[in-house]
Amino acid sequence: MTTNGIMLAEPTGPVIEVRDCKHCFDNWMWVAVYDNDELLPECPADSHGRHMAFADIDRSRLVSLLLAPRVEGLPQIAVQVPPGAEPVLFRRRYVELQFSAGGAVGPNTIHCLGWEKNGVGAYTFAFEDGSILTTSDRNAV
Amino acid sequence: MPATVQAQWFGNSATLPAGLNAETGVTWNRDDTQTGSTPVPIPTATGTNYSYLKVLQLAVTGTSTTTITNRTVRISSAFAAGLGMHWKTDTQANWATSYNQQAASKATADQTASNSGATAPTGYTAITTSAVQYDNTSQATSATGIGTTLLMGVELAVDSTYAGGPGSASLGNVVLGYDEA
Repeated sequence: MTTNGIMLAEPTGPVIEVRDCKHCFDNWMWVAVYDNDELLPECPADSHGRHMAFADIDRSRLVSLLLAPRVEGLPQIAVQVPPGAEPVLFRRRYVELQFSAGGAVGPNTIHCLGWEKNGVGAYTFAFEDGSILTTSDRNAV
Repeated sequence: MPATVQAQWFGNSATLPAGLNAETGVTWNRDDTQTGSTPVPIPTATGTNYSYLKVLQLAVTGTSTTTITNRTVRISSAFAAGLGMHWKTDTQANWATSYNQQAASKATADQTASNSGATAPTGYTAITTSAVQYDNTSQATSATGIGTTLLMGVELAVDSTYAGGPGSASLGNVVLGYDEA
């Protein structure tokens, strides 16, 4: 279903509405899911409102993290955060400085969801073409 | 909402200058300029020559509510034999001692003892195709600029085994990365 953007439904998860937003240009928007099924989306329903950052997530109530695609054809990605684990959520961006021609390429962005606990981590990296890498190495990409 | 971040070059000043857009190009040369054409000579006998340091950092140019950490550097393809690039970091407060190149280069001094283009001199780390963190300062993107981050000085090294000959060397791209959350 599409309503003013892209409406997505995960079979066992929440319905996420991704609105068009002039401030957002990444391929995915993140959403934090709390233990009472409340959602904290990165991009507010009113796109003129304040956008959320990782620091805005109430970690004591966090159950899972989602990446909701803003581009058709990309998958929705969900990661459950185990009790007591530290959630991981960031975008890894790269800018390439060209020697020969001058100029730059990028930024290229890789999204990451995951968690860390007792020195162990699980990370799911989502690439711009929709491919996904799950690894225990935070610096795998 | 992502912050807008730009790779910037810092130089041509006795005191810490404002950064200039490095995404228009940076030339590793033998003067205190962003793109000047004073070349690094290829040694004709055993030895290694070095460019001036080119000082780089990622700067926030469009604010947001996010935080930046884990700044990394790598090269997109391996260097030809006899070439290398090496980096070090220092605080902004140490600009005068580490990065002021108005009078002379602050890079590694040329040497005739060995062909060491690919080997990082003392105090430096070689840039490879694997990303390595050069600065993990946490920077809020609520303000523009480079905050209190470290400055990265990068030098190009060429030794007498380099077979590419005079002219502009064909190199991969310097890839600067960061995490935003």
